[in-house]
Amino acid sequence: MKWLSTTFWSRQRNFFMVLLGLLFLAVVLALDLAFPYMSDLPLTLYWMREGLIVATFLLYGVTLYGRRYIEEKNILYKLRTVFFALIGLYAVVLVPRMLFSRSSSFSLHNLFAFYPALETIFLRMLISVFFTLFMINILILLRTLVFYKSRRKTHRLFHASLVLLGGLVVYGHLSRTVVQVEWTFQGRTPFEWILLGFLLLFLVILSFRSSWVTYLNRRQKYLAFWGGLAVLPAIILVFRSNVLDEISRFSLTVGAFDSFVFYFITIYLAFTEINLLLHLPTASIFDKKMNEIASLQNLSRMISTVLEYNRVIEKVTELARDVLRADGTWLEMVENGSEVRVVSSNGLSQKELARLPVKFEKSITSWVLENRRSLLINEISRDSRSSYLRKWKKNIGSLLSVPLVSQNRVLGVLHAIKHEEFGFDQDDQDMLQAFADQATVAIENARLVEESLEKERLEQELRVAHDTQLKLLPKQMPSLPDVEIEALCVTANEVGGDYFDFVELGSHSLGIVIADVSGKGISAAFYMAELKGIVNSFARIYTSPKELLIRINETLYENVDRQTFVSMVYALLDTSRRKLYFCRAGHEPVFYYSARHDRLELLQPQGIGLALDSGNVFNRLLEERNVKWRGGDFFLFYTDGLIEARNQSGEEFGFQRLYELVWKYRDRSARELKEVVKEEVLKFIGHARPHDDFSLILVRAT
Amino acid sequence: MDQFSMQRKEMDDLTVLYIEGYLDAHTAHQFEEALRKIIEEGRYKIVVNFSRLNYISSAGLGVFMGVIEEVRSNGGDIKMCCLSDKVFRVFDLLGFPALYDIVKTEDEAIQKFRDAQEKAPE
Repeated sequence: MKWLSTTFWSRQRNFFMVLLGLLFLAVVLALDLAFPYMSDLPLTLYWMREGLIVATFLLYGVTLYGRRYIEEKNILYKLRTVFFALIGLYAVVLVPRMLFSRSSSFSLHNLFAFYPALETIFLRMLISVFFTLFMINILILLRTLVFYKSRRKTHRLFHASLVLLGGLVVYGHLSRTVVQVEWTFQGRTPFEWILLGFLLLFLVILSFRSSWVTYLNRRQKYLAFWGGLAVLPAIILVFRSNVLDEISRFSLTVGAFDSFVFYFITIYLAFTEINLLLHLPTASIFDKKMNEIASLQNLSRMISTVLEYNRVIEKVTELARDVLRADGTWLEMVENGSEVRVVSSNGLSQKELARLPVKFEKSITSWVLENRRSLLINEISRDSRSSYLRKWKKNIGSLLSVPLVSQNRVLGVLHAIKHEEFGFDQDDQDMLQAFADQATVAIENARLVEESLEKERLEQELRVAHDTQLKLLPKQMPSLPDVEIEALCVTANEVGGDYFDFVELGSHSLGIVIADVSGKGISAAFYMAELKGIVNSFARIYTSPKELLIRINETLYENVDRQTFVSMVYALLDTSRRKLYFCRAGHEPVFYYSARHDRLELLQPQGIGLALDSGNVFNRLLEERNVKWRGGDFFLFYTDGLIEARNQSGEEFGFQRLYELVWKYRDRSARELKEVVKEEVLKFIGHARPHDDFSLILVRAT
Repeated sequence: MDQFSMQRKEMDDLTVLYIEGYLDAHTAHQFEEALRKIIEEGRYKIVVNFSRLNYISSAGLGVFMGVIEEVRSNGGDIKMCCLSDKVFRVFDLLGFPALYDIVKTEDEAIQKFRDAQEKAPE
């Protein structure tokens, strides 16, 4: 079913068209050859011949006319094609002329003069066909040029011209005169004259539509101008010769059409040449403008593609230098509120950058930051504001500086320099400002993206820290005879460094750890993990709390950075002797409730935080205590997050409140007391999450 | 809510830094930068006045620990004065009074530097 496919069919159709056209022309040729032998020419035969010719060209013309002949972007390319086609046409016309020529004389007047007999008929037909095919193409080209960025009115005018031409042809046929669009009064009726006048007027109006010239670049404008001039002899040649008359003799309709198109192209060419000539002096400026627009578009495109801050600022100086054809550009950004730093440059050496004076009271940057306006200095050496720049770089002639303003805030200043004086003009200043405005958007976007990435990274870090903390805390409470143990850790959004643990040292002995690592977040979580490792391994070796803490201090001091320290209470609970041995290393005191005396006291033996000191002070001050407990007694260990928990108005929960709370509920079980403290603190702060972790451990003797 | 600010005063080779507001994990880096700047200028005799400080967290305390070695190895010191009871409690629990000179008034802190100078003239 191949023949059904569209491409196949369209190729078949084109082939069929050409065949049909050739067939028509063959009939016409046969008629022409037969005419000399007919004494009386029948009018029907004449009409038939004319009809066949018109049909042939209509077939060709309509096929082409429907297509989009010229894309806007490659006008010049198409013009060049026409130029070469013109040369081809002349070859077609002249070569047979040379071959068949019998006279040795060769002048413009008889260039297309034909000779009697058969050659005339052949040649006339050949030339008419080629010339007309060429003219059809020219008309379509003219249409595209005229329609380029044009309004509807132009379209109507163009089609009105074609209709007028049709009218003239019909009228010409009816009055049996040779119809040409020629500026002559001879043999014309007033009606014809009016039609012709209108036609010429339309053509002139249409010839003003050559806006495509504007969009050519400088080189293309020159090419088009000289190309147009080169075509001039070809046009003169056609005018001086009798080719149009000969075509009219071949067919009145075709002659009229060819004349029309020929006049149209001549008038259009004349106007376009004038237009080109007027554009030539400004061509380079126009080029520059186009270049600027292209760069601005380039930047706009970049805004949507480049999201990395560093790439954006690099591109900004690169494009700014391109657009202005500057010798150097650099971008200064305001950082930390008032500091100004060069963040990117183009065309300047590292050495020059290092010596560049950026911000001081009377610098250009300060001026621009203060006035929020662009500044153009065309004579660096004579302007007092910029003379300091001459000391920086000797060959600066002119300077242009524009602010990057976003929401009434100046983000930075973009500078461009040229070696020559008067290197920048008002347009450059406006242009660079427009450019800077675009750049500001790009920079802001890049920053926002980086901020959100940073935020995501921080959130990820928070999650990691939380997971770490949760994994480090014991999941089950240890069970020992005669004691009830409860623990609690309410974590802050940002890990606060609270840590507690139990080390089982046998059936009657338990190590209890409560600690607070300084700092927050991932680093605190990391040190917690380190601490857990140290405590768990050392607690099995050193049973005395004092000795254990001394060892822990030594190890920690060597392994953490100087800013980090840990406060900790380590207690050894011995259920067989009913004793608690403990040390406090810089931590909050321990509550002890004695049931026998109904007394709640605070145990605060001496001791400084871990990792504050290499050992001299730590070992000297650390004090170990022991308490003999009975049934009903309890110990409460806690971290500072508990008493430093703040409510909305900034008030702290405080030690006093905690003491009163513990006293009030002293008779409750460990679990109940824990729940009460948690509820009361959370109620006080008014959120589910405190700003710092808080933890507590309760050990109650039963 | 967590506002923090500083002011700096210079008296001969002494630098007094007044800190105000909340010194916690979020504001500690500001304080650290200020201290580092003073040290970079070669000024190692520093008094930190806490009279307007409402709160200090472990991260804030860490800042002192981070710079003290450098300060002391250059013959200087950081002395603290005018701590509120609440702030002093935090210092006291951790054992800072064993590591730093913590005094009641700014004059006392300055006097401590002067005394030390007389004892060991350059």
